[in-house]
Amino acid sequence: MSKRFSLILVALLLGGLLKAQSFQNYFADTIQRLNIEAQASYFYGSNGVSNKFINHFITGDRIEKEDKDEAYKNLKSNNIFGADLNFSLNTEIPFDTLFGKSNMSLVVGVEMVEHADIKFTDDLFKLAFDGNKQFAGTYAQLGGTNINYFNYQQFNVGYIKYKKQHGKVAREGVKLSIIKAQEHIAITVPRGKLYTEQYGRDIDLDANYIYNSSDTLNKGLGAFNGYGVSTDLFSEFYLKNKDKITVQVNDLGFIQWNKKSIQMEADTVFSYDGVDIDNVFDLNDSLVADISQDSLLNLVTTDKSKGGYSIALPTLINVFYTKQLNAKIKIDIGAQYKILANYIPLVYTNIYYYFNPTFVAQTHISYGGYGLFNTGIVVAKSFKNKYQCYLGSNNVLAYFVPQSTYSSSTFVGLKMYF
Amino acid sequence: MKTKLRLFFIILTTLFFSCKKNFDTPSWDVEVLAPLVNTSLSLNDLLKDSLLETNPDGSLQMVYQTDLIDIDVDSLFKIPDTTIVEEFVVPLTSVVNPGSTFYSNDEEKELNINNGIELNYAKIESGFIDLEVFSEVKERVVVTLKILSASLNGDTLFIADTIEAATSTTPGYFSTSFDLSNYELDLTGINYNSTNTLVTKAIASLHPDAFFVQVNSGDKIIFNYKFRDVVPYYVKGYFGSQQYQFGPETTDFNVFNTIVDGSFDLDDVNVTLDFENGIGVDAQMTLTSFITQNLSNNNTATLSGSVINSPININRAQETYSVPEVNYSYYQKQINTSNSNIDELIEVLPDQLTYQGNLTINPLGNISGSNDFLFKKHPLKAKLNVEMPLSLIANNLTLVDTVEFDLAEENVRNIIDGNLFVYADNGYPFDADLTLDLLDQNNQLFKTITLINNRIEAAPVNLLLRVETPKMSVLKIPLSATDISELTLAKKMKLTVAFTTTAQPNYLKIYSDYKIDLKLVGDFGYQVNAD
Repeated sequence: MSKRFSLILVALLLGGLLKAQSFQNYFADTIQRLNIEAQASYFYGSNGVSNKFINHFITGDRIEKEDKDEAYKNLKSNNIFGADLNFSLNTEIPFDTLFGKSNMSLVVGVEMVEHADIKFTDDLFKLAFDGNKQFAGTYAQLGGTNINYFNYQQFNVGYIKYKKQHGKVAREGVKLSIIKAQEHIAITVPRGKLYTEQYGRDIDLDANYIYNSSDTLNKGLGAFNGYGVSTDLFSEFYLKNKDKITVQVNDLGFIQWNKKSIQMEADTVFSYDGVDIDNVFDLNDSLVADISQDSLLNLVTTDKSKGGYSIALPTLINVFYTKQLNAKIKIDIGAQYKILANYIPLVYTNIYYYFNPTFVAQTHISYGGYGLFNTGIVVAKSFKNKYQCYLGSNNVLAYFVPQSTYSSSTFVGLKMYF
Repeated sequence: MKTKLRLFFIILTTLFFSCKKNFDTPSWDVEVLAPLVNTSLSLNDLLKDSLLETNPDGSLQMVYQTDLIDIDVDSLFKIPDTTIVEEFVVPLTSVVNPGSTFYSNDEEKELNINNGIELNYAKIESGFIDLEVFSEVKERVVVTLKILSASLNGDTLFIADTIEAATSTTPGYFSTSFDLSNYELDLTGINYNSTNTLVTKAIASLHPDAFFVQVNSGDKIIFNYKFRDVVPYYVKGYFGSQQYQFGPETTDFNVFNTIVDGSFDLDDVNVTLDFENGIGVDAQMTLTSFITQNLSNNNTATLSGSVINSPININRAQETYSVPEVNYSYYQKQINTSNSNIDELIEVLPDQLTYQGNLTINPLGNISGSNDFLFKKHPLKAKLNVEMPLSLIANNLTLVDTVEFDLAEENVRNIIDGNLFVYADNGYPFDADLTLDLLDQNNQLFKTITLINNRIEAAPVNLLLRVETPKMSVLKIPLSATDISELTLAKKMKLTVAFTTTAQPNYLKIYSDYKIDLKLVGDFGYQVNAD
């Protein structure tokens, strides 16, 4: 009893998670067992910027001119970039452990989420990484830009229900999460263009933009800048032919950022022709301060306020069809979409090959999402029915030809049964 | 079970921290082309505002005014400290009753005023009478000093006090100091026909509470009083026919301080000597010498023409007996190019003036019937007014100015290299050649900034010699990484601008709407997130 109680306590403290990348994909549980699982994953990708460039950017390397020139070749008029970093710890506690229910498990857990998605024009990219001189005498088109970044931690509680369908054990689950929001930045530019006069004597910005940010003075893991709720749902349906359809909805919810949050907006045509000075002989630091980033931002801001606001979370909808070809081979075919996240619908297929019941390799082929064409490979291993682990990537070529691939990911999981 | 859990959490922790790696910030270079500074430069920036005036036709002229002479009451005369001693020696031995006066004497006392000045009235602004009285009477004595000529609001000035009885060895003694401020002095004497003369009355009486006393022959009572630090607010009388020398006196001429080289030719110069006489005397001034000097190149020019050594007569002011008390008398003496070589004096670009002359008051004697007057606050002044219509020919007229320049390293460290462009829209009809020097904290030159094309070209003029359309010039300042680093070391920047007018040999008027619009544009490589 004391062991059981301590496990429940650990589970309540550390929580649990339902996630698309799941052990269930590799080793389906046919009976309920008390378990703890931890998963970590990162993903980043773009449909226009190669992994090589992104790697340099993320790891803090110097971005050379040839990196930029290479990136420009693949840019389209509109491009997207997305990134996710997730860490989760969940515990599944069969109800019979608690209440004697034989077909349900309680799931509790914690999760750390960091997400960014950007929609950007090629001109914005060139402007950011090569400056405005290249646009002398022309316009840089910035309209349609959308940048979102947030991170949060959540505590969640839910259940998984096991049911028999056509001789198979199907599962369905619900999870409700309470979110502690940490940081948020969002920039939306529905209309925007920047004109640089041929000799640089004037810069004109015609822009309509909204900028939101959580409290900039309160950052870090301990920052509590808002709260929210979200829900995850999933359900498996077995068909008569033993094939399976799985439907998942993740992160259906919102975050309310607190009153210290900032909102700036403008719908204006702003012309900048230098800092006006009365005395030509006053070329000193105060002048440099006038040309500073903040002061220029203030110049193009027509409305600035503090106050709370709410955002809807990017909600993932994932549907896939699983066909068991034989005892060794299984195939998933699916599609997923993330709403409110500058996401392109992703279609994918996974092919599983079971070398034996405790060792499986999975290949992955997909197109869409934040990247283009993706190929991946995952290996999963079960040890004496007590441990399971997996390690893989849906973008395995990113490790070998980063200059020709556009997404990168790695995920790893560990599960322990009791 | 415990081992399982321990292993699980070790792996978990490893996973977590491997995912949360903190990376460096990436850096990259961008090419920025942006306006930095927008400003206008006009003559008002180079010259003091007070020096420029706009003529009705919109053209500018430089004006400069400086005081040459300021004659007030201190210059004309002073009432010197005057000490008067009045000694009474008892002629016969007698017994004096308490309260009896045994000495009373009225006297006229003349103040030490010289130079032929004959005052009949003065109002005192400040001053004192210091009084000492010695008594050899062996009983208490009441002494009184009255200045019958001095009154305040109708009351005669008097000082009275008691002197203690003398002993066989020590006389009785009393001293006091009396404030004369605001007293009026009638200086016409007892019979009202004298000048510079006060009327006093000294009295000695035995104190009413004293005992009978024997006053012996030879006993003395001495009144010793002194008029000290007397400054009149107003005086009247005849101030004499006095002649004063002034100068050689040197004064700064702060018009061309920033000009260090070159030459200019003025179409016209108008100089006036303006006199303002608030004193009730006639005056005659003669300017004997007027020299301008440029201390930088030691060039001098001496004024010649009818203005030199010619007496200038200045009429007396009139007393109004109301407010204001005085109607000034004004006189203006023109000094221009037709009666002198004044343009030559200006064209040496002087920074000092040296002048010398004579001033005679009452040159015709006492023609006012001793009604000359002088209020302290209404002097006789002579001012030099210089008006230079800015219609000129300039050749390499070089102005230098040094300005504070402090550029912090953190503000420019991300700049890799590039160029600064100065877009100058010149509305003036002169070329301007620009030189920029960086100075260290000891004002020593350590770098001259390279300028590719340092000339701001003159705007063209029309047939009326007026600028219609400004002329655009582009100055390029290449900045290497070393140059940028050296900018941060500079503490001052010396700007040297040499002007040369166009359309020579015509004189060109400078109009108030002329200006140079300057725009500084940066074209440089910039490292984003430089360490």
